[in-house]
Amino acid sequence: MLKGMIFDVARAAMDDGPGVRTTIFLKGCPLRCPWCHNPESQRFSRESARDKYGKPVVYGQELTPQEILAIAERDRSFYRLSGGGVTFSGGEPLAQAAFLAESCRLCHEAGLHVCVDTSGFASEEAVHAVMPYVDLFLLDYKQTGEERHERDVGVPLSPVLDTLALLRREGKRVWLRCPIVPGYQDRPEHFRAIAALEREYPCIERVELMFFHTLGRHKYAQLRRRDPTADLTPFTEEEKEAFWRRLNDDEAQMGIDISERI
Amino acid sequence: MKRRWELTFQKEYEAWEGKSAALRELACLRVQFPAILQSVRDGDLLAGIASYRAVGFSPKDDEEFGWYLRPGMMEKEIAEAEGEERAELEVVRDYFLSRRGKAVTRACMDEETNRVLPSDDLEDDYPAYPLYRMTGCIVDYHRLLDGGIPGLREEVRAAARKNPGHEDFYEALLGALDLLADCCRFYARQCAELACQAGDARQWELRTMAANLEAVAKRAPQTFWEAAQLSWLYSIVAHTLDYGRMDDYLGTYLARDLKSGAVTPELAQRIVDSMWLLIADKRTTVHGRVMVGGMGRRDPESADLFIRYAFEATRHVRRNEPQLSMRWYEGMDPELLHLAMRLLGEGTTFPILYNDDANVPNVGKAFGVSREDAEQYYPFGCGEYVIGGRSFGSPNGVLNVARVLELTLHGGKSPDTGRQIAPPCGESFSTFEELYAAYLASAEHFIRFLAKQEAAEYEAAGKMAPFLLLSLCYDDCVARGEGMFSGGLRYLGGTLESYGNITASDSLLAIRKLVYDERRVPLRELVRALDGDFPDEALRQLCLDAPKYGNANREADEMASRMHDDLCRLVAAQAEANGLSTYLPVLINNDHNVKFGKHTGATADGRKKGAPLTNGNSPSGGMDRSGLTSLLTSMASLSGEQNAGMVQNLRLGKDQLIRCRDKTEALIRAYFSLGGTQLMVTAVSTRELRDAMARPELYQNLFVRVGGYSGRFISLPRPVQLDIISRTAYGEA
Ligand code: SF4
Repeated sequence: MLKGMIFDVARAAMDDGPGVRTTIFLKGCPLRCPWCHNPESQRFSRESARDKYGKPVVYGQELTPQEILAIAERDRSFYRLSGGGVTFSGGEPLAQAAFLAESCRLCHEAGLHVCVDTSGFASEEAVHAVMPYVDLFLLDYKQTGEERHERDVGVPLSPVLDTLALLRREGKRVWLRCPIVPGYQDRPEHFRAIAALEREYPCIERVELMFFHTLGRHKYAQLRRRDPTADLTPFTEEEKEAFWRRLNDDEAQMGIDISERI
Repeated sequence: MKRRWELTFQKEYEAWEGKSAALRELACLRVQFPAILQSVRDGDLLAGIASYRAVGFSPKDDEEFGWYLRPGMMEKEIAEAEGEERAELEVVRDYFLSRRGKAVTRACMDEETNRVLPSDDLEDDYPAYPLYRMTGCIVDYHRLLDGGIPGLREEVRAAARKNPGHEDFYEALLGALDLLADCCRFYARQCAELACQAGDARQWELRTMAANLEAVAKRAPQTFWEAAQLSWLYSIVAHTLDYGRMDDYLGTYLARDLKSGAVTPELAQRIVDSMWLLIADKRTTVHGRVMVGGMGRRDPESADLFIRYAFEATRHVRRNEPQLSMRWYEGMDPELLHLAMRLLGEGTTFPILYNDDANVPNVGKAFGVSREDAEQYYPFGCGEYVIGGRSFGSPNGVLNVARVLELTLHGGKSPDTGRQIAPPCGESFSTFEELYAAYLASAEHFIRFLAKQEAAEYEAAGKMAPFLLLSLCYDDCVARGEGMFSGGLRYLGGTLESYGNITASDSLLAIRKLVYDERRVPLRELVRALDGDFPDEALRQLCLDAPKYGNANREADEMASRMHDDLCRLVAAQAEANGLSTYLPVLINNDHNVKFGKHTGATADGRKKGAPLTNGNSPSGGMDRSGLTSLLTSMASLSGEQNAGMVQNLRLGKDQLIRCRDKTEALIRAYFSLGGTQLMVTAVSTRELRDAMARPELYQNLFVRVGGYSGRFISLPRPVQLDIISRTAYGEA
């Protein structure tokens, strides 16, 4: 039977698309972003760790698309009034394309609003397989410049742009999500690139900025992995504010519709 | 030497002893008022402050009602008095000792009820206690304001003509109206005097107040300010502690005056603010409820306008009271819910939200009344519903159901002292159903006697006095010629406060699973572990791992519903036998969950001995792990069709409320659409709360909802603070 490897389910998710949503996190990711706050999402297989009290925690559970639908159904009344639905995130959900497509299909046919939150690093077939059942793609734009992209996250940028182009061609709706990590993306040319993308791709309805945070740090320790951003500190409130002031000026010039995220 | 009024009060009582209770009440009220009325303060725009003394008459004093006595205060006064005065006060004290509310109630309780409910001290180890009060006076302010004092006088005279044989009562009602008018004039004179010494701006205010008071002493109020004044002063003299649906009875005056320019928006706001301050300064802790919104208002458009002023007043007057509450239904102006969410995001904890779409039909069923009556439902105090102006339902009994379960597991005996407190039931149960039946039987035992006690208390109240001022503003009393508690009121019901419900239902489920379904541990061993406060951590872990209410877990929610429905049924069944129109449980909370927790041993849900019980109908601290929507789904799953209110707390991280205001609002509306009845929202971060414990001086303005009331966090006892912190704060990653 078709099953997917899931590492978490977040109900009442507020930041994964419109409205109040249930976010299903699929395990396994071909990228290695240093700022990743879900290190347990990266490997495709089940793994175990210990929490700080020494209690074992297991990441990874196999679920069928029907089980996914049942989980998503539970909060239907909350989606209705908030304009929410179900979001598939990861990891890289498109890496489990067959399972994702079937899950999306079931949810779509049940009348739920479906989002897929992807790094964009996926095959064209995978995107095609899920596309008919997806209302909105949340597409990450992680870095500007081929070289930097490959160096930072371990995969080339062009497949991501190919995915974006495909979505534009197929007339799909896209929200562009951009991590902003100190020392990585806080450069003017990155924001100019975002603005250029927005102009070039009318399918992008909205751009979201996601500021670096350290809420996932303890999980590196649990998994006994080195945290690549251990010596980074999140922007302070003052920095963020100064940053926002600067961005707002840019925004006016560049025409970006920027929405704040963490 | 000026004789103390307390002695005159006692002499009046004595003179009327054995004669007319109505005229006796009037005579004593005349001594009490204006004697206990206090001066208008600088800045007050409404007159009316009362300071109750060691003896007096009130529907609810500290821990009593009717002819009350405050022993502590009295002893202090006696100690401070000298010679003859001291002797006089001692006479007063001794006289009222046997005539006070508590004593009269105990005398009305039969021998068996006295035996089953022996203690009035909630810190004892019993599962059930009586409370002494006639609380939850939600009068019909329209009766007062529509025709003013003369209008009521006319109504009383007309009723007297139609209904002979009740001359004393009607005479006393007319006297009470005169007394109310006298209190207006008392303050009118005072305001006029104060005006002479005041500066320009204040002088104008005081002169207008004097004119308002003179006016409402002799005619119906015509302006917003007059209407606010008359309703406020009435509330002071009648000693109601909750203030009805204020937008409904003041909104029309406000809208009219704003339109005509008779009042400016600024002045109107200051009048409402002044009312809020006066309410706050009464410091009742659990009362001071002001309701706005909802179905069944006379003039919804004007009322909605008042709501905006009420919100603004709550923003200005950041105090525990008034407990501003808003009844909401789909179809009401959505802007009002947005404004409410914004206010909550600012950390006010108000308004408390009520869902009329669920509550109106529920109240109709629970109280067996028409939709029209149900639309006047009103949660007073901690959240017990009554029908405003028509019903009374004083919560006069408390039951700790977690303790009942503990006793059941010990054959009805207290595990600490070995005393037989509940009926004997044996200690071994071969099936879960046997245990559950024994538990219900034990609960029923206490419920039966609490119901008898409630009826006895009303009997005592009826014997003591007709409660004239209240009777004037409750439907049917005037027409029937009877006082509130002696047959006047349309619906005389009662409520029982039930605590630890979710602790008990989660424990029952843990027992069923561990002992009977999975046979992981024999009952006797589990009970021994509970007695020893879980010496074996592994067993406690098993208990903690059992499914818990609040996670939208079907088994846990079903157990909670089953127990809830059974208890509601047992309580409701006691109404008829005790001559009550209804007898309904409420799941509310003040800090009794902490108090009762101290005297409840370890429970099978994994709770340690002495730890707080669950709060209202909310999950145990830290159990609501799988998200806000699952918590809301669980909370909406308990039926409101056979009870008089359930309190649900939701403490939200500021972030959630501010950054995701619209989504949070949608969550709340969805919860309401699922049948959720009520929600109290607190916006705080756990970090803030911890910090507040460490540096209280920086957190004067931090308020949290402690179940039924809103408390200044830093003045709460430490275990309550810890309990609040342990509850998961949603929206904090
Ligand atoms: S794409 Fe997402 S899940 Fe994968 S490594 Fe990057 S941040 Fe982590």
